[in-house]
Amino acid sequence: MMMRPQISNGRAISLVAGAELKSFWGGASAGLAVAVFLGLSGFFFYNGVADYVMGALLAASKGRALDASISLFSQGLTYISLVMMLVAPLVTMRSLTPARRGGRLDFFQTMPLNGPQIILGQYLSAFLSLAILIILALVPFVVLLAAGVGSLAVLFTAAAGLLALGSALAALGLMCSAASSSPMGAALGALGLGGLMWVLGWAAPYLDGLFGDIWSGLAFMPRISRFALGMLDGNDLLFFAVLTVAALLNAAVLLAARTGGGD
Amino acid sequence: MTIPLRNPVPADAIRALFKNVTKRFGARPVFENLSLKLKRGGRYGLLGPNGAGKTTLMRLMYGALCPDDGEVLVDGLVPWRETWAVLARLGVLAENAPLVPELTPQEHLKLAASLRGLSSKDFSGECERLSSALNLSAFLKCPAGALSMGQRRRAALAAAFMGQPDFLILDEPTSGLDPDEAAHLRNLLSDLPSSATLLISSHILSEVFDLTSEIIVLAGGRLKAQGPWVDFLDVRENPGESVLRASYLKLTESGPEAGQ
Repeated sequence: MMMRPQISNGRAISLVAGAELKSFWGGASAGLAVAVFLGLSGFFFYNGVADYVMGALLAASKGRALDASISLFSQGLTYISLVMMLVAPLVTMRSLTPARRGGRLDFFQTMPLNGPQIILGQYLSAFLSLAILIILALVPFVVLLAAGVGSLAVLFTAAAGLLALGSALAALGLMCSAASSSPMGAALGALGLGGLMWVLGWAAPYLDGLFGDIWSGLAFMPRISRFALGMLDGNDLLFFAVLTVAALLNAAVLLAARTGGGD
Repeated sequence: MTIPLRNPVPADAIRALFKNVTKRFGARPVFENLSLKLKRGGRYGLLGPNGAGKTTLMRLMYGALCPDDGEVLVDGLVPWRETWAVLARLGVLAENAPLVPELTPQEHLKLAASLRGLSSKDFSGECERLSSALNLSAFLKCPAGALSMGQRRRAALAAAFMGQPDFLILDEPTSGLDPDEAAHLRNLLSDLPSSATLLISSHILSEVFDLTSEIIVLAGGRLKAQGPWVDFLDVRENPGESVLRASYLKLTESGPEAGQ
């Protein structure tokens, strides 16, 4: 009698990720995500160029030069992170929510897969999808670099920061998807969480003592600003890594709870 | 090409065991202290009114749910803990024939084959066999979201049969199928080896009668009957739907619990 060996965890996760990537990029959500992401990123990039030109002219009239790497490059890269927060929920909102007609999660639950493999496969797919969007949004900055504006080091650190943020947003989105009974609820939850962690950055300087330190520690914005200025801080990367792992663990717990317990 | 059975289990083995299982959704119990056994080679029809817990029972069996009390074992394994090991042995058609809307039936079959560890060569043979048996050729490369309910069900059935599992759990497999398509499915099920175990639920009693040798009847949160059809029916060659329905209604409305 022939026994089929169990496929490896990596293979199972990659199969789920492959299916999810085909599903996302083959559906309407991808078109919407690309349009919103590139549209808004392009809008902010254009505004940055316009502001830079005005500023450069003003500085030149006073006999000074304007540093493009800060005013144009870094600011533009910071805005991409804000756009990513708006778009990431579109990528993750259907992943773990129950479907009325029997959808992806129900199908995966009838296949030889366990909960962690399903979640990691969907996380990998969401992260890769966001990475593709990030790369597309960085193209104008590569063009600027080729034109002698900005710094390659800043571009690399900003890209690293955006990928780290993308990882955390993908995981938070999956967590919200596991907690919600509808894709819209999942999307709003992910948007709310991301927005909260963005707003914390604005509020933290006005809070004193331990409370301020905690809020500051949880905020996205200061970390993204550092990446956009070319500062690659290990603590910032660790923050996003820990956030990713915590969100994925929560997603697994929430998904297990939907089965009625499972330990 | 015959693919040998995987994961052979001993003759007379208990494939699925429910021991005093209780499952509630919120405060509402679906069933309480349910005990039953499914043996290797058994052909079981799962019957009951809407809300009786047929789908819940099946979901407990393949690990999509876990019980609030009691024990569920499939081949001695706990389904929601050892999901891979259990689902590698099962072919499952869940309620509503779930599929990923953007993937084609062929992609679903390829995914099912890969997850079950089939080689590319085995997949080609299986894909051809199932495509022919369930008449999938016309829409094999169409996105699942664009298919009719009958087409989705056939595609989901093919994924369940991929790799010739020896324990099939099929929730309303003929729902939405026209008579010709239902006949294809019956042929496929009749080709199952005698050692394969089948659990099938349907509202069409004559169909369940044709495909199974034993019934399991759930009603009012209890197991009302389990055993060979002949134990619950006047024995005739081809009892019509009306005869079956009369016996079924008698079991579900006033019948004692199984074993009483």
